[in-house]
Amino acid sequence: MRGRNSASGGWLLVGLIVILSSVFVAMAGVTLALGESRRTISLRENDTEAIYLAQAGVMDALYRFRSGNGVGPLGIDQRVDPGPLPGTSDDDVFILGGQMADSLLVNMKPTTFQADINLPNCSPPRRDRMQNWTIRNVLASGGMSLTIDRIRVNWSPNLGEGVLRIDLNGNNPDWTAPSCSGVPANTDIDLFPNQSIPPMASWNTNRIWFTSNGVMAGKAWIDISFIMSDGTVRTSHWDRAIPANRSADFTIKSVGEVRKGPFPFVTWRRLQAEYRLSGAAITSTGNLLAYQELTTKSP
Amino acid sequence: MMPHGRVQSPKSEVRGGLLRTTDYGLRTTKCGLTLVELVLTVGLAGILGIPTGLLLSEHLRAAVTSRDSTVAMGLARAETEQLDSLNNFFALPLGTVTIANYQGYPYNLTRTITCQAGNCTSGSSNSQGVKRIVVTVTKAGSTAPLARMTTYRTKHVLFGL
Repeated sequence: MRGRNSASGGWLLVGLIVILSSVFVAMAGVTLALGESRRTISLRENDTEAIYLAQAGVMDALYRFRSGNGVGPLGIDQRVDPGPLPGTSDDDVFILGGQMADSLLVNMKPTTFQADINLPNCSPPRRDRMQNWTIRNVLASGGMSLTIDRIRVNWSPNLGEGVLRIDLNGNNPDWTAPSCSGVPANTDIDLFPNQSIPPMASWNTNRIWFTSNGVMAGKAWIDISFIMSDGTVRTSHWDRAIPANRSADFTIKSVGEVRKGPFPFVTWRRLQAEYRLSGAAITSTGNLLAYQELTTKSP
Repeated sequence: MMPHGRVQSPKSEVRGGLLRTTDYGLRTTKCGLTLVELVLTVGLAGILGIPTGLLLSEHLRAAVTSRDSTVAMGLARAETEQLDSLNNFFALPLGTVTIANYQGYPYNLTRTITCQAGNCTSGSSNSQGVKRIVVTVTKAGSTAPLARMTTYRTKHVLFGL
């Protein structure tokens, strides 16, 4: 009798312990879940901060460019907000980066066309010439040189005209067509040697000769694509009817990085911005045509 | 062995300080807890209850902090987007402005705009400048920042074509 009674009391105690333990374990689980939730919120906060840091990088790059100092330096931390621990690398920063085509500014705004240009070696001698467009390396001193490997010219409507000659940075030909019939639209024209433009440099005399005469100025649009030695491409656009659509663009890529915060992880977001000048001068009012978030940190 | 047909008078037993059993001879009924079991149970409940209470308070704190952080970051972002939508460098006045109960919420928003570099006041197109915008949100009655956002705006640069 006694033994059975004691066993019954024991089970009651065990039951209580089990219930309390279950409550304890459940609470611990909920606490962990809340901790994770807090962590997620913090990550989201850092995410938001990071995109605005990236925007700060874009704005800073534009300020430097418009001030005549060039975009950059690339790949170097530029502190926006100091972190809580002086002397460590926990600051909130932006880092500028990009590839060759990003920093090649081809300004099509001042483009003009001249007909009746004498090209004596080809008969008939008088030809169209697209001129006065400029090329600039927007990077600051110490940045990379931009090397143009190939050029492709396209236009519409295409009535069978051809490209005869390309002059970059002066009046001397950098490429001449193998025959007076030129090369058709959208043909890769390989420059030999490649042409490099150092940082901060500007080429103000650039010309393209066509097989036609008095025709090219009437095209709806003409595109010039520059294929750089790293394989990236900058396409510059001339539009006859809408001057605002004539490109004078370059691209800024900026990473915003939050390194401080309640949790020990780094959050980054990368922004790509397309900037267009409204005129020939770099100080003319500019427009940020498009923002795009990139999912890779480089290149 | 009990004699057949005899009714046994009830018997009580005091054990462990509590009236424990009632025995009518043929059947034995047992109910209640011993003092030892009770003390053990209360002790265990205490041992488990203290951390449980701590966890509960942590829950509440975390829940409140999460809510505050989320709301504060949302408000900071709303203010920054509003400044961007002005699309006008000169409409961003230099100085510090604190807005109590921002947009009707019990949070204070402080916006500090400084000239980061260059000339931020001249309207000349040849004069360049960049402003630094810092938006901080605190809970009303507190100085601890819940959210902080920093960005720059450059002169003569507009969003869109």
